[in-house]
Amino acid sequence: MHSGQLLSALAVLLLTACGAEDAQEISNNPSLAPCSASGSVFEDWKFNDWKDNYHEKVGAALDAHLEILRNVPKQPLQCANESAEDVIPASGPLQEIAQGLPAWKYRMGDLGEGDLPVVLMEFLRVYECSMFEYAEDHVGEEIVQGEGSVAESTGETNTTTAQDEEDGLFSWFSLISRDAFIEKRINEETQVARPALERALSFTQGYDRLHPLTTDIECLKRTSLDLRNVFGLISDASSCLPRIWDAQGALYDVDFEESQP
Amino acid sequence: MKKLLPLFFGILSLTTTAYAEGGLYDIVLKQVRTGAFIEEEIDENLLEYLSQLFDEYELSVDEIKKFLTATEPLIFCGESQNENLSIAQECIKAHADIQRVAKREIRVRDMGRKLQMLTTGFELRISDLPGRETSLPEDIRGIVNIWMAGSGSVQLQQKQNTKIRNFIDEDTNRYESDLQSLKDRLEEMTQDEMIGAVWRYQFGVRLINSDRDTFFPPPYDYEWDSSTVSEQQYLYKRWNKDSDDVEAILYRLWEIINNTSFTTPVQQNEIVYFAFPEDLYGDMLPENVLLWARLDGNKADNQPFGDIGLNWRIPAEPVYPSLMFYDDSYTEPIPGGNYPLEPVDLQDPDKPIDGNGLCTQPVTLQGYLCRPFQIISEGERCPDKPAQQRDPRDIAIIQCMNPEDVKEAQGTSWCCNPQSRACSITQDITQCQQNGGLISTSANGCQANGCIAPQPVLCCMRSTSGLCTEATSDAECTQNGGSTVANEQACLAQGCIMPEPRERTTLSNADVCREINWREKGTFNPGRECKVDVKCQPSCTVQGGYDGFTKFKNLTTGTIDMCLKETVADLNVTYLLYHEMIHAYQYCNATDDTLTYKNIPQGISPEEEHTLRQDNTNFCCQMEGEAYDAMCNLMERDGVFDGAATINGIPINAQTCAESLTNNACSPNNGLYGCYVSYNYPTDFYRQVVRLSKAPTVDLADTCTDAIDKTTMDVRVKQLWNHIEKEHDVCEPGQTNLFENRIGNNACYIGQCVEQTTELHAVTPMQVPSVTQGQQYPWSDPLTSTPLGLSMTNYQTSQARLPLYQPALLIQEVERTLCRAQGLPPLTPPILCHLKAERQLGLKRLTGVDAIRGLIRQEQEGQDSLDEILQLSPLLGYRVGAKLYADYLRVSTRSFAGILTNAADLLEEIKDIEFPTEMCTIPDLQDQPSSSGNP
Repeated sequence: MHSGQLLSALAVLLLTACGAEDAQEISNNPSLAPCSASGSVFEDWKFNDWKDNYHEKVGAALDAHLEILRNVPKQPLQCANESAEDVIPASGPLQEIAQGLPAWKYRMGDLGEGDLPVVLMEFLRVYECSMFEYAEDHVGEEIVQGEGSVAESTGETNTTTAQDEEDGLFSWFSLISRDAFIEKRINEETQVARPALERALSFTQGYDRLHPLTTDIECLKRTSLDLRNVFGLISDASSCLPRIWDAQGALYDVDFEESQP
Repeated sequence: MKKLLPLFFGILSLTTTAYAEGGLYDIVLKQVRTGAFIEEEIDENLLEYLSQLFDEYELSVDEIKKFLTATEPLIFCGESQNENLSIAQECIKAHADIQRVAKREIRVRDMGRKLQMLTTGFELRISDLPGRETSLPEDIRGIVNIWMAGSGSVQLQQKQNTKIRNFIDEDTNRYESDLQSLKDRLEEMTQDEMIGAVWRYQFGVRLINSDRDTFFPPPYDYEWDSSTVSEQQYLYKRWNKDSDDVEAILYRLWEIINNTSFTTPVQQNEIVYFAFPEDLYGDMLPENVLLWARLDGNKADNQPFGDIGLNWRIPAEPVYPSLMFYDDSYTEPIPGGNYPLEPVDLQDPDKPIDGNGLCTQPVTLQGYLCRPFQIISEGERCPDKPAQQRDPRDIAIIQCMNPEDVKEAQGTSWCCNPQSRACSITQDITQCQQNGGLISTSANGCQANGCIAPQPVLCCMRSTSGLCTEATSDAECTQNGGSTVANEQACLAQGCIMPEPRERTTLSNADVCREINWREKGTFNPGRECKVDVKCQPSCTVQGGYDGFTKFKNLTTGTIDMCLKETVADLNVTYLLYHEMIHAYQYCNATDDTLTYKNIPQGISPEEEHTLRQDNTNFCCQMEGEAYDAMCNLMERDGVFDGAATINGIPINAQTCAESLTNNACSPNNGLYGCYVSYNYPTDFYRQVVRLSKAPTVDLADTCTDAIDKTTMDVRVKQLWNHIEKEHDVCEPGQTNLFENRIGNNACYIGQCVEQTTELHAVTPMQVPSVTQGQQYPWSDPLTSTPLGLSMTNYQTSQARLPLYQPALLIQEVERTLCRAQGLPPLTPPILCHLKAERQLGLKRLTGVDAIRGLIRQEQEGQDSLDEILQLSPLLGYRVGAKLYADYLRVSTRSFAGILTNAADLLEEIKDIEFPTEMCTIPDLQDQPSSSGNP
């Protein structure tokens, strides 16, 4: 048996021994997930789009979250539920993010709006991992594979000149510029992405804290309105009470004066 | 360092509209990018500041930006083509200078932003301003409004007696032009200035201008010189230059709001919160800015809570220390670093003035931040240690008071003596403490220290407030100008009135329905309702010059006219008024003209005349008997007859008083035959009895004018009067009632109908509950008729109980918060949540140095987050408290639903009553035994 085949067989044996469930559990645990773009949305996006796409999706998820909290009075609520956590399902943008994360895509059924911080932090972690992975691996690949690969993988067209492409020449200068661009972008994003998310989550955590109470109060308000309607009906019915006060006397229809001895 | 610059450059170049253009994350991302010197987000104020601060380098704003974004000075300066800094060494020095100052300023601003966002996250949802994202106080007021009984607003607090009404103003057209002016004015400011302006008027423009100083002095009681160059300029600046400036516009808007007409007039103790439609904020104001307004019904004090101002929908940025000073003709960078400069609190020069406006709002005024935290015993948690000199640089959110200060502020200190375990008022705090005693500021506080407080005494403050109040001792009562009385009745007898009771009561029982406006305007039904019109005259000449009389009800107008002599020789006017009010009550029920004395025409036979006189005598004895009985009972309860000697062996009490007076009123002197009496009263007996009411000990109003003045009248007369005019026939047959659709009002109506039904119905023959003489209803035959089946059900009692206090859950909640911020499930202890070193190790770094930096930074990240949450963790207490309250309501609401079910069952029973379809056979009257039993 070839040594490579032997190693493969051993790997299969090991995985079998561990059991598929364990492997799945490992990949599902955010703190144990691999630090890579592999299996995430970043694998599908071009590097140049990462920044805008990432911030746009985080912003959309947070906005949707706040929108949910703001519009509690307009939402259908399951006021009879035991736990406030069950009341609100995950928003569309949050589901979209979770769908693109290896740690979440296989357990979307467990996802609720209350998981927003966990999902966003995982999204950020994968984003950071993807950037470092890209800086380490892909730049090298670009050098080996030449300029076509650079343009294709990054979406950048201004790193090489049209003349370069026509000549089919490899432009070292454009590659250096490209490298500088990637490094600058990664440096900026590592400075900005995490503090921004943390600050935003600090806000939402404070904001969320009163959400169960707000939901309770909204439920109480709705119950009160129902009760008011019930009371209104009862008071309407009560207005009929005087009709029975002299029910028998009226039916006798007796002239009091005449009945006197 | 002053540079003359064209005004337009100074202002317009810095104009920005970058206020929350996107959502929350956009705001935060922009803040973070600004703090990180990302090229397109650099603070324009900072660039301008650096450009002028380092004027020796003669760098433009754009050039400064390049210096800030360049991370590698050697490369940057090598490539730089700046003529002024052509020498690399100078360029590198300039780079270092600019970076150093910029980072320092950015650090301050970034810290402000972080704190602001944290605070906003925690506090925004409990904001009381209409127009904010959410407003818990508003929701709670809404719920109370649905539940309460009455026609007015929600009462804020029993003690303060302030009511709050929300008013949604849809008519925004009247604001349009002024709002446009306001928007233009705000948007032409620099970013820093606009932030300052919105915060400056957050508590209202009237407050700043001393228009509310009856109760609330302006936060800063001095004139800020607008030419002062200070980094604090926007904390104190006034935008009141001309009629197009912010203050003038706000005042114009205030006038419009002040002239709003309300369907239900604003009461004296009522505050109206204006809520504007959503589009007002979207279209007519700058992004993220909101306008608020509040009217106060207390016009006499110039509307102490009435104001108009600005605020943020999401407060994202604080007032920054200013970097630039702009005047009409020049600009100047502000070095700063002088905090706290002027102004300071004049009473406490060590203390910078800040946040005073918080306690000028009706709701926040009730909060703990607006009340001093009194130090009662040593070791008590308090930011200001009484034994130590307070560091003026400390910021304490709770104001503490030493016992001496408390005494000065409140005038009373209680000493708990550890030996006798008795509470006593002390003037010498030091001596009390030297004897091992504990000082407190109230009797309750003294009891909390383990001592027993003396029972309070009742004090009639006749010469001052005119109220019956509680005093801690006889001495205190006397010291305050009052006199001690034995009980409530004695206090009333001395002419004092009871303060407005917490539980409103009628003559018989609790009445929360008193404030309901049952009737529609203009639907006064004179047939069933009445008004009492009392006139004070020198003499009441009708019907022979009585001291007072009450006319029969005018069936057309529903009016009952009453006349009282201004002063009566033998009887206290208040008692006479009470007597006449009883007559008014009798006449008010009249629906035809039968309730009157019969006219005795001329020329009738003696027998006929005798019959008529006998009828009139019976009528007189009944009507006057009731009225005198009530009046004499009142006199007896007031102690008028206490200690009175007998007259001819006849005791003086309520019975003999009423009998003699009634007999006199229905005597032959008035053409009648007199009434039943227990004694053979001397002719002058009744006069001697009533004269007792003129004794000096009877301290009731003794002139008609005083007696009918609603502010000073006897509370019992007042209640009877109200009862006659307002409490009658809510549930009469055919009556139409209009009232605000609230749970309380509906419940009141239901209760009134049930009460009247149980009192008045004749469903069970000869068993009319409120009448004892069944023989008055001979047509209701107890033998042949059967009860209709109405039965009362025992109501369900409320099972509401205080919810459990669960500290473990509280801890878990804190842990969950800490861990959530780190994106991890809850862990105990929560510190584990931010020590995930493997995260950094798992990251693929460009260099080893990055990995080390990452590790260091990760710890700091976690620590920052932890610090932020811990700083605000005391607020958790509030949340938990609110949750306990919600839990309580949840349980009690369920019980209430049970009670309602019972009510529904009762009505269901009524529905099932089967009424007979045929008239019963009338028994042969000849065979019918008479009520006396004789054949």
